Amino acid sequence: MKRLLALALALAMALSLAACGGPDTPAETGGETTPGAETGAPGETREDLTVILGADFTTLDPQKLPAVADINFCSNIFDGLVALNEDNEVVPKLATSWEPSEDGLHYTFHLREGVKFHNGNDFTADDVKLSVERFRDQSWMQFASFAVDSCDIVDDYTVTINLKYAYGNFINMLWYCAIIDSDYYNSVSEEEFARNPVGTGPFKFVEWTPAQHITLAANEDYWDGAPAMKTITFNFIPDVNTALIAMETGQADMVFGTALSATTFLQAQENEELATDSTVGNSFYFINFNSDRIPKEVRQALSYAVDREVINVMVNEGTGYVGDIPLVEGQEGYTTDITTYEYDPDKAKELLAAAGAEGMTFTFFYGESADNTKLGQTLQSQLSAVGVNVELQPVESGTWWATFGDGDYDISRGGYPMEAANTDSCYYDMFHSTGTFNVSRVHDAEIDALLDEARVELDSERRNEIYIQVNQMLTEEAYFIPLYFSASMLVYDPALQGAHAVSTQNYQYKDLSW
Amino acid sequence: MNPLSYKSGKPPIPPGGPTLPIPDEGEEFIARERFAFWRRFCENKTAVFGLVVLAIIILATLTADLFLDADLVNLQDAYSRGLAPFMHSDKELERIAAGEQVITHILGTDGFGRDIFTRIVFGARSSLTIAFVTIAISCAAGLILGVGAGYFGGVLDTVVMRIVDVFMCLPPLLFSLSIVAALGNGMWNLILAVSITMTPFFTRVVRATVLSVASMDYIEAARANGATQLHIVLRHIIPNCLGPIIVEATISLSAMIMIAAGLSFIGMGVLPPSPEWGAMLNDSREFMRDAPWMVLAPGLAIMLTALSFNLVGDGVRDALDPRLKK
Repeated sequence: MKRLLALALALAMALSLAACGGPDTPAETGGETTPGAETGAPGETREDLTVILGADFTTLDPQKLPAVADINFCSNIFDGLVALNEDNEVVPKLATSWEPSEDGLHYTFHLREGVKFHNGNDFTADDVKLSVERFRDQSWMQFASFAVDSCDIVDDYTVTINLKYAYGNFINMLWYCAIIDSDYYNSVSEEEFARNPVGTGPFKFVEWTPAQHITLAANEDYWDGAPAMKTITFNFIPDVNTALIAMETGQADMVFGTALSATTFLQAQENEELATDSTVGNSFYFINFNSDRIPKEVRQALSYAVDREVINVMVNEGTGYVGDIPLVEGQEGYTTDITTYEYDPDKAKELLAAAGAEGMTFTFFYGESADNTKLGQTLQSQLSAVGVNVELQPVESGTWWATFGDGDYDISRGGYPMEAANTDSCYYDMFHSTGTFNVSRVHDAEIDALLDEARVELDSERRNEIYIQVNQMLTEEAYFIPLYFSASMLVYDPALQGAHAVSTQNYQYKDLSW
Repeated sequence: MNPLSYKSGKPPIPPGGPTLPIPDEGEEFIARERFAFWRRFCENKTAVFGLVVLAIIILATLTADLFLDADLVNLQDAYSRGLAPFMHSDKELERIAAGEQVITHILGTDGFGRDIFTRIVFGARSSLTIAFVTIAISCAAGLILGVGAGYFGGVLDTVVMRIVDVFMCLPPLLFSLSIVAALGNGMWNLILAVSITMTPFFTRVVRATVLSVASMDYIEAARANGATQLHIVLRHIIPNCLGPIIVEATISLSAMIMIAAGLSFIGMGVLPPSPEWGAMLNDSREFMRDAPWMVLAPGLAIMLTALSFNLVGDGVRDALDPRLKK
C-alpha cells in the first residue's frame, strides 16, 4: 500500500512538473454558446470589453512610462495636443491648430475649448505648460522631448512651445506628451498621481489591482463623442498559453502584444470561433555585435554565417518580416542601395580564416525570454556550423537593461520600436555614440556627424539623403545583423467591430464596438 | 520509545554489522549479513524493478556514444520541426530516397528540429551527474557536521543545529533558486546550490544516529581501552551511521532529479542548449497542444528516473532494517 502511494506520488510529481507553468485547465462552465464574458440576454448589445495584457504596469504616470505598450495603454486615458493616426499623420487632439515660426524654433498651439478632465476641471493653457515642462524634464521621455526648451502661455487657450533648436520631427513626437491636470497634479503626491491617473481621454481610470487587472470606464463627456464600450477590463496574463485559453473560453475578447506568441497566434487561427489579424509591426530586431570587441572583418564573416529566414522560422514560426535595414519604404533613409550579406556559410568560413578568427568563442548576452532563448540557440547552432562557438549568457531581463550599457559582451540583441514618421530619434538612439540604446557600440565620428546634422536639418529630402548614407555605412561596417520586423498580431472576438491589427499596437478602444 | 529515533517513530538502525566485536566467526558473520541484505532486497519485487530500470538508464547513459551520434544533440533543422515519432520531413525523405542514412526520430523532434530521443539519452547525463554529485557533496558535508554536532555536542551542537533549523525552514526549491540567482546559471552552480540546500537534511539524520550510537556500550569499551577520539569516530561511529545515510541518500536522489529539473524548467539551471530534461520540458511547453510528445518524452524520463530511485530507496531501507518488514 505504501509503495503504491509512493508510486502515485512520484507520478503526480512528474506530471505536476510537466504541467508547471502551463495553463490551468479552466473549469467547464455553461454551454458553448454563452462564454463567460458575454453576460446579458441575446439581442442585447454588450457594452463591456475584456482585454488581455501580457504584463502589469509599474506606474500609470503618463510621463514616466518605461515601455511603448504602457504609453499606448495610457493614450486611452490621456490626450496629447496632437495624435498620430494609423497612417502616421499628425492629427489635432487637444490642439485644434498650430503654426511653427519661420525659423522653426517656436510652435504656437490653439487649444480646444470646453474640454474637461475626468475630475471635472477645465482644460486650459496652464495644464499644457505644466505637462510640456514635465515632459521635458522626465528621463523616460527624453527620446521624444529632447528638443523642447520651454512653454509660454499666450492666453487661456493659446500656448507657444519653444525649442532648443529647430527640430524637423518635433511635431511627430509631440503625441508622447500626455496632457495632465495641473490642479490635480499639484494637489496630490507623486505616488498618488502615479496610481490614480486623471486625463481628458475617452476612458476614465476606475481601479488597478496590481498583477491582476485594471478597469477603465467610458468618459461620457468626451469632447469627441462618448465611446461605445462602457467598461474595459484589462487582465494581466503573462503566460501565452493561459491567455489563449482565456480567449477560447470567452473570458476575454481581445489579446495582442506580449500576451500572444507566434505559436498561440497560429493556434488561434485554426480556431473558427476566434478572429485573427496580423500586419507588419514597427519593432525591428537585431543581432548586435559589440564593435569594441569584434573587428569589422569578423563581423562581416559572421553576417554571412547567419540564415535569417531560419531564425525567423525558429523564433517566430516564420511570422516576422525579414529586412536589411530597420526602415520600410516611404520612411526617411529607406534604400536598397546597401551592403547585404546573403547566407553563405562557405564564404563565412573563408572570411573567418582570412581574419584568423576560426574556432573563436563569443558570448551572447541577452535578457531571458522565450524568444531570446530561441534566438540564442539558433545563433549558436548556425555559428557552430562555421566553426565559431557561442556561449549563451542569459540574465534576468531587468538585469540586461541595467547592464548592457557597460558593454561587457561580444554579441547581444536589440529590438527597437521604430517611429513610422521619424528616423531621427531611433537612429540617434541606436547608432550615435551617445545614444541610449547603442547595443552595437557604434563609435564612428562620421556617423555621429551625419546624425547630428540630420537632427537639425529641416528639409526632409536632405535628411533622407543623410540617412541613406548612414545606412550604407552601417551595413558596410556590419555593426549588426538585421533580422526582422516582428508581426503585430491580434486575436479577438469576431463580433467585435472595428478591431484590426495595428502596426504600433497602439489600440484605441474608443474605435471598438459590439 | 527512543526520542532520538530515526524518522517517524521507527527505531534507529541497530548498530551492528562489520564492526561488532565478535571473535572467531567474524568473517563468516559479515559474509552472511551482506548476503542477507541482498536477499532481503531481492524479495522486494518493486525495488528490483526500480533497480533494473535504473540500471538500464545508467547503462544507456554511459554507452550513449556507441549507439547515438552526439553531434545530433544540438543539430537544428528548420525543415524537421515538430515531427511526430517515427515521422520524416520531406527533406529527409529525399535524402532517404537518395540512399543516405537518416536517423529515425523514435520520439519525434522538438521545436528546433532536434531529435528528442538523442537529447533525452544525453540529457540523462546531466540529470544523473547533478543527482549523484549533489548527494555526494551533501552527504559528506552532512556527515562532518552531523558527527561534529552529535558526538562532540556542547556549543558546537547548539550552533550547528540551530543553523540547520533555520535552513530547513526554507522550502528546498526556493532556497536553491535564490542561491542559483545569486551565483548565476550553470550546471556547477546548480549542483552547489542544491548541495547546500540538502546538507541540513543529512546533518539531522547523521546527528540523530550518532547520538544513539555514541551511547552504546562498545563505544564506552573502546574509550576504556584508551582509543583516541579520532579512532572512535572513524572506526566506530561513522561505520555505524552509514545505514541511515545510505537510505536517506537513495531516497533523496529522486528529489535531486526533481529539483534539478525544476530549476532548469524555470531557466535557472543548466544552460541551453544542453539537453537537460527540465529545460526540454520548458522549451516544448508552447507546442504542447500541437505536439504533445515533445512534453511527454522529457516528462516521462523525469518521472521514470525519479520513480526508480524512490523504489530502490524504499527497498534499501526495508532491506537494511529487517524489523520494519516483519
